[in-house]
Amino acid sequence: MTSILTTHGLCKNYRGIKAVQDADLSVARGGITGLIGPNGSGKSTTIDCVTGFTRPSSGKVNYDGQDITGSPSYGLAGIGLVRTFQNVRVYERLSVMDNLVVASQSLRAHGWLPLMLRSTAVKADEKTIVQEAISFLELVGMAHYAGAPAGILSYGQRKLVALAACLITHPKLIVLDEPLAGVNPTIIRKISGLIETLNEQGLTFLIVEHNVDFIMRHCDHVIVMEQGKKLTEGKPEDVRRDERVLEAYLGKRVGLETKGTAYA
Amino acid sequence: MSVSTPFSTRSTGGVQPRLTWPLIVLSLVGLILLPSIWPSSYVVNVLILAFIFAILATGLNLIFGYTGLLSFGQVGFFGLGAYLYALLTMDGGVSPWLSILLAGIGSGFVALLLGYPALRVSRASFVIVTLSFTLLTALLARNWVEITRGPMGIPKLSAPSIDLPGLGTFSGHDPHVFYYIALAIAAASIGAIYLLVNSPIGRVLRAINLDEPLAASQGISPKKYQIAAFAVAGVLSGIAGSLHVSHLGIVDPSIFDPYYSEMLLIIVIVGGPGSFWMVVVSSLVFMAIPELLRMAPELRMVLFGMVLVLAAMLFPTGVGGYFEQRKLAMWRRSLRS
Amino acid sequence: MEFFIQLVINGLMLGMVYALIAIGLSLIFGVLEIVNFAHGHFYMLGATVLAALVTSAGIGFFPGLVIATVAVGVVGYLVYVVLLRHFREGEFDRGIILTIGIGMVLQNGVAYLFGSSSRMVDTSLSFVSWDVAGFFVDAQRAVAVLVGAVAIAALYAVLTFTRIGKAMRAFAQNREAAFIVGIRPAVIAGIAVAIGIALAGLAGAALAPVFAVHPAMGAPILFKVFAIIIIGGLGSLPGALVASLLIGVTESVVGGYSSVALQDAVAFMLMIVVLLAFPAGLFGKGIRV
Repeated sequence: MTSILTTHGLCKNYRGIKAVQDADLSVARGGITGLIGPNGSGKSTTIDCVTGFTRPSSGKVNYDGQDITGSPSYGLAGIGLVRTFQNVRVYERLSVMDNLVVASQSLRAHGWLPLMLRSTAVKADEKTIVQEAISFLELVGMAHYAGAPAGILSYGQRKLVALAACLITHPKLIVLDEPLAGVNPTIIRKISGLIETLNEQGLTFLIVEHNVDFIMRHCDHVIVMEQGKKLTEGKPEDVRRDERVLEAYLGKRVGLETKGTAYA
Repeated sequence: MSVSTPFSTRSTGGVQPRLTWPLIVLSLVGLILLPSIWPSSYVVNVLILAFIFAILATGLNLIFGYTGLLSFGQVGFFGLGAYLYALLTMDGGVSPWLSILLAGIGSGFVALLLGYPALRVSRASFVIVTLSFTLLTALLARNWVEITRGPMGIPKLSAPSIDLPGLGTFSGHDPHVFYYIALAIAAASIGAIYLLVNSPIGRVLRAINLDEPLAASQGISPKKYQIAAFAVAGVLSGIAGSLHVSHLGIVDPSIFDPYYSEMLLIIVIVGGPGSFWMVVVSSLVFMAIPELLRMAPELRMVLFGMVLVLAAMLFPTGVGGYFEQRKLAMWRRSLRS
Repeated sequence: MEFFIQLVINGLMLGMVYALIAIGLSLIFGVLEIVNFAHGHFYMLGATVLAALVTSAGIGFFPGLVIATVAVGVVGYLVYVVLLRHFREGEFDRGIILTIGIGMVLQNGVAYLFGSSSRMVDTSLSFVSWDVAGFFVDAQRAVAVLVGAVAIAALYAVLTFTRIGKAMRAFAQNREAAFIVGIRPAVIAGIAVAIGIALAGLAGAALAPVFAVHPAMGAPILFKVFAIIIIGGLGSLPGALVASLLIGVTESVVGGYSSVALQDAVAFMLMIVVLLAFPAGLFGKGIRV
């Protein structure tokens, strides 16, 4: 299977702290790759590096055949790479519908004057986008909130809207930063189900998660990080039994079998 | 022009009671007829000043209310536009109408150049750089005497005139004629900004203001839009400045007086940053107040200062924001039922 | 050469006065993350109070200096307690709008109550100058500088050696952490604000006999001080000191060899250069605002 995203020797230093050291990661095209590791292992920094929110200190990031090392974040949605945020972000004072419309790319191709005067081309595009937005909102189950300001939504509902906003950009790779954190089991099931469905339709996922259950059930491939370095990677079953992984999370083994629990 | 799809893509501008077209048209008609109903030169001059401030305030509203950047550069562009107008008409022999346009474009261009370094670090530096720009421009106006004639200023400025074939030429030096010139320019520039903020561009500006990293992750370059909005606000301020001095007939360094910055800020804060029509209405109100509230100017400014303090403490989103909060409360109630 | 040294001496003296104001402003920013747009007007307030005390009440210069400084400091503390205290971090724009409003009230209030015309303050030191190693030193200015130096040294001592001072520094570095270890923000920030504003008042009072006192004198100095703290780095006290001296000397030298107009522009030119080359200022804290 080919890789859609690879990093070579990725490093990020913050004033003497090596947040990420020499990370060689690879995300298979069409798969669901999990990125796990204890807090402070460098997962978020790695995500920030590959999505253009932080400039790597050294190393390379390759996406879909292009070198995107150090590319600013706003260049990436246009080539199919989008992400969500750990503390979910939505435009609180815009309606849910507007949240999606802003995210969609196609209106931005028009010049300012046609946009201001609402030319026929613009109107046609807007109609298409609205229909798309409705369908994505229906997919995540938030269509009846379309006119509501996003600020009134609960945490879980915001996560669904944020996901829909990613989808309207027609991405090839979605990077999800702890999509299941802080939400109730119903929404966990919903989001997990959505990820599966979308993946079947060809969307590649890179997911940072602590939820072991989810990792086991849905990921094809898991990368484990610890203290800024890649500890190991492989199939979920293999990684889960790896001594070093257990040590990284739990400390030295004292003969217990881990059950699938959600980590806070 | 209201769109009847179930979910409108019109920007939820969201902060003002939806002013429908009939109301706008009605107000315009009212303003057009006003001098005939109330011919006092005094009233006409107050309104001209109100129109000029409305243009200025809309510019600040665009960069501060919609895009979220507190700029103290607007008065700098106001003065720059004024001096450009004077130089173009006096030294360049350019027609007044064209000079107003060029002064606006010139100011916008300078704003474009200033925008990039101003946005470099943090919001604090943006505030201080734009402030310094205004101060530097004021300094230049006072001291670059070869060009600006220094503290004496450039007097005897020509004003635009209205040429109606068959009816003759009406000189802008007559306040009653200038009234219509100012109204037309104000309507055109404010109208253009209205189209802008209600277009997808306006929505993007609000998105950047609400959550810059989110916008970036969605493919929006925040700096590009911020600089563009800053440039547009600069154009508006330059136009307002030319209008102001062509009405006064003279341009001098007092155009940079802190009074303009202070009034501008009050107008936008009380109207509500991000509330389009409330800010326009606020301009009219604040220009009319001094005439309604006769008191020592210093005392009036003390009062205005207190208004700012109150607004900052209790109503930072102004009148317009109050309406938006009510709308939000309504949504919450309807979702609960 | 002698001319140059004279200019440098004048510049250093000027810089010391800027430093008093700039350090106060930086202190307030470090603790509240608000740029105090009323700061220059507190400088004016200090000058006005001193002028009133010396010319109308016949009080001596030094007692007047102390009274004026304390009075302005008290006003500053009240402003904090009544208004500024309610602001959270990151309410940057609101803080600016609030302090602009306060400044308007101060400037126009003083103008309304005392009139807008300039007043001159004469003390026993006016018109006196000293000869220090062959260089001309204006006594009144020298006293202002000495007072300023003493104040700055005292502030340094407080910040380094006293518990309250250390609490202020902790607070400026990390509000939450300071809160967790039991430092009460209202008290610490209040004291810091009072000190910062008192310093501005002190500068105004000390300089009242040197420059004419009028209600609008606050604004020009404020803008210059903004440029200074940008150059020195927002929130950095050493930066404020260094940048003040730098600007003072540069202004003096430029003014001595070329036009006065250029002198005014020095601070801004330097600020733009620094912003382009060192975005966080020379000693920058790197604000995440």
